[in-house]
Amino acid sequence: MGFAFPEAFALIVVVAPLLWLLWRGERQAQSALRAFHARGPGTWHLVCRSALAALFIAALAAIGARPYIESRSTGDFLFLVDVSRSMNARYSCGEPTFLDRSKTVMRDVIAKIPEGKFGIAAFDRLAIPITQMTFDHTYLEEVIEHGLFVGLTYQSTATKIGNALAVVAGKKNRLPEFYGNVSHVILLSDGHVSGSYQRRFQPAFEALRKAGIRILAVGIGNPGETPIPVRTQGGACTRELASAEGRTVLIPLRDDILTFIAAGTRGKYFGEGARASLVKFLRENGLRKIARGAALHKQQRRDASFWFLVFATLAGFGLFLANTTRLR
Amino acid sequence: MNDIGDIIGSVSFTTPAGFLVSLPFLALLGWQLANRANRGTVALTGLEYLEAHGWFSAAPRRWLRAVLWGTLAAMIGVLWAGPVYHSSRPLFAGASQTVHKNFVLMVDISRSMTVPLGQEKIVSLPGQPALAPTGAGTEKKPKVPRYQAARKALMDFVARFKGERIGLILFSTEPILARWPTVETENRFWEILEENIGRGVESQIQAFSSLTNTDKALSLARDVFAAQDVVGDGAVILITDAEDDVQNIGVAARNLRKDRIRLYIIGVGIAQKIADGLTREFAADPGFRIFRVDSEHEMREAYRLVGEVEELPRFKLDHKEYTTDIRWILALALVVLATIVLGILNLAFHQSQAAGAQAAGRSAANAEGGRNGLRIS
Repeated sequence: MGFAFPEAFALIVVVAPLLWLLWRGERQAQSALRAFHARGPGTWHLVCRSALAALFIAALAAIGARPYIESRSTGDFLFLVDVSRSMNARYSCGEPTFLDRSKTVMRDVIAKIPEGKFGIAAFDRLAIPITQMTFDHTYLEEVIEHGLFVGLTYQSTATKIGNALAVVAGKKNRLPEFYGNVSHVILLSDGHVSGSYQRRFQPAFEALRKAGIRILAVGIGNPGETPIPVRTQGGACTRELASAEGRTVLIPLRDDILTFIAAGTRGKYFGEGARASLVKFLRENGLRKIARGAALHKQQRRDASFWFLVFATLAGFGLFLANTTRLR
Repeated sequence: MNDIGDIIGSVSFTTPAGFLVSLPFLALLGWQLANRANRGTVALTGLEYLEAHGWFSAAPRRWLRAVLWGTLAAMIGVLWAGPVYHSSRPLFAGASQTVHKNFVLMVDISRSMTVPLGQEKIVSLPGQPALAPTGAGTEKKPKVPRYQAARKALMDFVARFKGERIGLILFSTEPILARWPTVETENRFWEILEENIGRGVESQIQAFSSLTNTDKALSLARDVFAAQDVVGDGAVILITDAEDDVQNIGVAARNLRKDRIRLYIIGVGIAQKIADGLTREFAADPGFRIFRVDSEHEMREAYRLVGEVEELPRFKLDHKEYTTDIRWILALALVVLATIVLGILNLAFHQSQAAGAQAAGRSAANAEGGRNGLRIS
């Protein structure tokens, strides 16, 4: 922990006159009480009040000193999110879509790895890095909320996971200044691809292995097949289900494909509900130590005044209580 | 005076629910006032006498004491609520700018953008841009493709407006929101723009590159601004070579202008008469400009002009807004306030003192009252 404005601790000097005031007030009270042959609360009361007052002032001074925590580790993680049409699947309009569920996973991971540097790439037929790699988690939240939707690129009916994996590997090779530290890519998809995929994915696997990237695949979907409710032009969900050639389009969760992708890149497959395991895996395998003296991004510094505020509040409340039990 | 005016702003709270922390304090204070008002005091009669001799001040003192404790409690609540100060100039070095200029840059990546600047396409079939030189054809230096020239000028523009919020849309038959508007533009979108288009290029955006649909791309830009609640402080810079499409830009462009989003079109190789026609059509609209470019130099000039127009006082932000976390300042102020309040409470408003004083007052009053026929019970 560090303090951005340590000069504020000079204010602790007021503790001394404050304790004197308390002591003097106590003496006056005792003498007044003695005049009526009453008994004061005793020395422990003064000690207690003095300690609370000192803690109150010290905690407030610490808040004024702007405490912060800088993590000594970080990691670069890229979300690769499927935004093809199948990610609109859900049983009913009242349920979240597969994409909404992907967003929940992303938010959870970002929140639980506050020291992480994240980027988001969206894919269907194309794969586009829709954010830069950033420590700005507020920005990422904004993008997840507004900038990630089905139909982000043309022909969202096609899901080209192989292309997306190859694009990620290519970006790391060509742009090491941006993606050089990315070693784990979190793939969020229902795995719904058509045709045989084993041979098709091999070049991408090879490129990823060379680039030192492991795919952590998160399967988004339901045990059975899920339909896609049709949306109106305005985006409202309807009861009508998407169909092709007269048959309702049903989306299965292809965890076999996702497991294959994870295994092919020496990564790991996680179910949608295994978010805690995913975070644990990322923390254990994806974080690296920051060299001492290395310059940190301002977003890597987090405010740490919360606990001081808790101490100040409790001490203040203690003083309040002590005030009410002043006489007996 | 201006400087002072610039830093006068408003305060908001990031966690207003934090004020609830004050409630236990205030409840305790209320309970004290309601139930323990007479603790340690003695009931007195002969009020006229007491008033005359200044002994009738216990109640105001009690209330003043309550106000002092209440102020401390309220200040603790303020600290929990996360006070943030908004001003048009940074209050301290740590202030962060929260209101920015908003740009969305739109780049046409249709196949015709692979044509070198200064040359015209004479065949418009998708994927088969046959070329015909528009100039004398004597220049030896190979001409840069339109896309690459546009990309370079765009990146320079991004660098010029560093710190502002800039987004990127690539469009062909359909638009792609390639970058949600961000203030982190140091990379100048190179992660996206490094991919090329053109003959023999094997990139995914080359595969995407097809025809042009400007209206749809403008609608997407409008949606992006709407999602950010940007009205009036935004600008779209559209670079395209599809003159037919430019000529017919209609509803989407007008909708943007309705939202007071400024629109700059950089028309690569479009006919002068189309540029003139649109200029005439939007003559009364200062938020619309069209530039016709035929060379790298003109491309850079167009971006420079857009930049200069955007920096005109007319289009500068009404106000820049900076937010400063002032919890730490208030905490320091509370140290001083708490010292004063605790000092006053312990020396001037002590319950024991009040009790002692009132009891002493009773003795004195009885002594005096005996003479005046009054009795204090």
